[in-house]
Amino acid sequence: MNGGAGAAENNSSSSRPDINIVLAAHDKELLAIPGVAGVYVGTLDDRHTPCLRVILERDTPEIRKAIPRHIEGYPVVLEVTGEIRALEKQ
Amino acid sequence: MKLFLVRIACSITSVLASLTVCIAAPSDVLDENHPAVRSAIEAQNEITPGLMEQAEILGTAVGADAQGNPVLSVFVDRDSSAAGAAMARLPRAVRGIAVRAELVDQVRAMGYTWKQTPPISLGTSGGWTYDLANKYCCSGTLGALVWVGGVQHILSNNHVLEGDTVTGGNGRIAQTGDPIIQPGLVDDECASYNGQTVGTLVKKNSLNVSNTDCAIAKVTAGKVRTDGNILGIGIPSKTTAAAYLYQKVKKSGRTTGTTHGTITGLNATVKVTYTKECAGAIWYKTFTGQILIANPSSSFLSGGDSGSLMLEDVATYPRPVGLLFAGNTSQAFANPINSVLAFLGATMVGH
Repeated sequence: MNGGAGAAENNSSSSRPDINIVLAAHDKELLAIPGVAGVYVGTLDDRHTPCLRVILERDTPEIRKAIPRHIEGYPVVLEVTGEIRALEKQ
Repeated sequence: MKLFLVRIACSITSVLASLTVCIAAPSDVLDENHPAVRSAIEAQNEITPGLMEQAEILGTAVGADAQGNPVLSVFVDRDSSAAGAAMARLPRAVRGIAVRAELVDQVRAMGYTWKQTPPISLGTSGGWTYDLANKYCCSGTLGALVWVGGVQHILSNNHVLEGDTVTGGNGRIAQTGDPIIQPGLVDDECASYNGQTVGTLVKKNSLNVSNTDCAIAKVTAGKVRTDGNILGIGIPSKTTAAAYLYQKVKKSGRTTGTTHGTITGLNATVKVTYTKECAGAIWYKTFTGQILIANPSSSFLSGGDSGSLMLEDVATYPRPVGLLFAGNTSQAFANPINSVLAFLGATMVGH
């Protein structure tokens, strides 16, 4: 798997699995939620604490309810940034 | 002594041109702290909102006349049929600051859209010569140069060079041997004869058979710089680098030119929206392991920048990190470069 979270600390004192393994185990179920465009390994605003960030095409109560706030010990942060498009010029 | 002479000059000026504001000597620095400049800025702030409601007005600025007196410049669209009327409506002065109308071209973002004299540098507008369908033409960026089988090839995205996969709106599907032109159709008024052939497509179908969005075109002899030079960046390293969180990166592309950014996400699984031809039917592909770059207000990457090579942000011989291909108004995405090179059986051209 490409692009492991090298800069962020991956495992604290807990016995959490590697965050990249957690992402691989849950990305399909997250993207199966209508309105979810992606998920990636990032950090909290402290630029240090690893977290899973979920990209939303739109923000609705139903989508927020469908996504857990933590996955296998990692915080989940929602980002409402819209659809991801191939960037040719038309 | 100097100030005395200035005052005399101002008095004479006042008699001769009552609408001109008297200021200190032209040798004074006319920065934003200068009283006369500040007066002009206040006049600008007063009048600009109303002016900008007029379609013919492109902008305002504080300038200076030949005597060094601040003036309020108003930029009028020279191509507007109502330019003359707009200029006639302008006041002669605002708060005693003379108003000066200037006919100008529309202001555009400074990308790399022009037709280069061969051999061209990369990081420039380009695309498939037949990328016109459904009343639209499409283009992207010719991002970099790679070696494949000992032969130099232009590197870009699949959806830029071979994205037409249905006969649909133009009766064509991209084929090996098709011309790749610089600039792309979008910058040629959708007429391929305005561009120049710089390569021929070597179809790889990456979107259907891999986790990458990449494509290559065999270079046409003499048309592309053999050192792999990229506009605004220079010659890249032939060695690649892995992405890491908060890595500083840069790129050169057709629309936004040379821009700088920061990697804020790794290992992204993302669903990307594509079209089956220019302005054609929509389809989706999900990628894994992608690099995410912060893209506030599309300042790092925008439509037309697809195909740009992303490199580490260092001054000389920067190492390639990814191939940019998708995004939105907040985020940009790149394939890790080693995945691209592995799929193509390629190595980078560079130092």
